[in-house]
Amino acid sequence: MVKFMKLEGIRPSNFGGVPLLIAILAFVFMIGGIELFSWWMWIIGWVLIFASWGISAEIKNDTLILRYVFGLLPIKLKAEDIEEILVLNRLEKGVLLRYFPGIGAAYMGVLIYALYRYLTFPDNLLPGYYAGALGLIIISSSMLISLAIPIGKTHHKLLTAVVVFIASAFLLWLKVRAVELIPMVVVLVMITLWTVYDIDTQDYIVLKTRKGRYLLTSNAPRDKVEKAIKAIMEVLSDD
Amino acid sequence: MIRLPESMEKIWTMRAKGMREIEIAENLGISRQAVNKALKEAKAKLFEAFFALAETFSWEIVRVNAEKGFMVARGRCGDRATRVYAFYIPQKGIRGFFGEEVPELILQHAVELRIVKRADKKELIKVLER
Repeated sequence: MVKFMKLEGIRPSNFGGVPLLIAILAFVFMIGGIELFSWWMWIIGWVLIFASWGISAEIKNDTLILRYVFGLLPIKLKAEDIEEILVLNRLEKGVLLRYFPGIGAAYMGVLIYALYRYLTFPDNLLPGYYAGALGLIIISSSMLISLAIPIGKTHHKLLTAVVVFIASAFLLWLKVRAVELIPMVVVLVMITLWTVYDIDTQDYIVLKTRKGRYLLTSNAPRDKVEKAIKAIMEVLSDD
Repeated sequence: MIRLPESMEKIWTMRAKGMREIEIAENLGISRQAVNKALKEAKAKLFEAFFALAETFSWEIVRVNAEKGFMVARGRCGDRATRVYAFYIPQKGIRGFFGEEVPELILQHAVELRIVKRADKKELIKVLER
């Protein structure tokens, strides 16, 4: 009999394997869009970033299937290939960056590009010129903070995000001193803090396989996460 | 408590110590396929044993590593939440400890399996918790 179960509330992330490559390609298109003032590159970048996120996870017989690219790309993990399962947010010092350095390198690349772009802009241009690069600096820094500080240390992360924001406000002040930028800065602060908070309150299930590591995330209530973990465990125990 | 069959345990231990499948096969004079099959079965049995243990005592699983044969879980000791660490030790089966009270046997085993480089209790907990 075919065993089938959809893991409710579980979403595969783009932190490893082919999805990470798609995410990196998305960043390249986005940056290309900014550099070349190309709207289509910018749009492709966004489509790719959505495609890189998984949409569902399911179990079919002894295989865990993670569906990416709007369901068109299934990644199949056979039970026999899985060597470790861990719930990262339950570790005392669980750091995403340790398990998924590739995504950290991608955000670092974006940060370096944005800083370079920002610092090479001439002073006193129209505020919009600085907004894009500054947004990238703040978002990529927030992501790096979330990846590098252990999960659960929410206060540390939010404080570090505030420090990043102050540094970014100083960068802006160096370039242009205009009152009309204040609303934009406020919006960026809200996005930053929300991003950091949201990342820190999710559940993270890491599957270590012979071919690499895969990350499943969930915002679902605890009982759904427990049910999913138990279902995966049953697959792993089935010889 | 579960024990892996002797030959399967031998193959699993060699792999856990870092030997490649082909090296194990050559060392034992068996085919690589046989090594692969034994490892698959050993992993499934270890996953099953650790999950059963957690379920029996209503521990919440934090991590289970079948390659090196250990589990980290969250349990309760009276009213107090505590960490539980369990290891599969060849010829002995599963042994565990609460909190930071690492038995010498487990520490030596962790060094042998290269989970830690030296026999340091704090280092072992650190490795398991990150």
